[in-house]
Amino acid sequence: MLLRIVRKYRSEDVAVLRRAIRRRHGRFEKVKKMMHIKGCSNPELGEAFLFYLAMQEGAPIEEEVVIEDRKVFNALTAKRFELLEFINAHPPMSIKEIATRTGRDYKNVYDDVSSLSRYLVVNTVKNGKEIVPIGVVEGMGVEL
Amino acid sequence: MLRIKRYLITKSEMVESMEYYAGGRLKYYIYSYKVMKGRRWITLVRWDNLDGMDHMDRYDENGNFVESREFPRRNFDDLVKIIKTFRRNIIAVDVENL
Repeated sequence: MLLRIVRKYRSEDVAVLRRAIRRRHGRFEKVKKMMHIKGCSNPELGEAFLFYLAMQEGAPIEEEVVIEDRKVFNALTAKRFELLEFINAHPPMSIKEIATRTGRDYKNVYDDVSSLSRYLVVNTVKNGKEIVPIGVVEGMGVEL
Repeated sequence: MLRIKRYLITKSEMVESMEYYAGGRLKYYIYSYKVMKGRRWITLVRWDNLDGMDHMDRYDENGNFVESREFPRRNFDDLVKIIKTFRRNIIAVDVENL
């Protein structure tokens, strides 16, 4: 049994992603230079390079996640689907902002986002000290 | 277009494909086998053509680079099958001969 998720990134998501990559690896030119110097010794640089290339060109970023681990279904609760719907319907915001806007306890929202991101149902980036869920889940399907 | 495919085998193991298309043709690709260590995904094996040549890189369990070898491009789905067979032992397997 598989769970298949299709996720797209809006321009607001890409902006958050760009900031996170820049904070971690520096600007595009630096990443290109470091890749030349370090070669394959740092695998994260290559991934940052591809993200930057797509962002520079304004190319769409599409993601498909296939989850084979059946325990993912334990992580999918009605409350967490509500959270997914909220993330889909709003521009990217931190967990703290989500908790405030939804009137939920910060810890519960944090736990929900953490559980979903462990199974890649939600993709998160670090924005300074804050964790921001990004991307819009366009489809989710079970294959038997 | 950047097309990402993540195949989660277990909560702590995944195979990831990143393919960058320019003008409708595949220009760069990265296929990686990653394991979760602490709260970070660590790459153990990676196939890519970022330097213009198809090759494979191996890393140790801490993510430190071990070696790089020439390796002709394989279909991502084939690599997923190979990885699902060997899992974490893939770092010790002579994948070229499979």
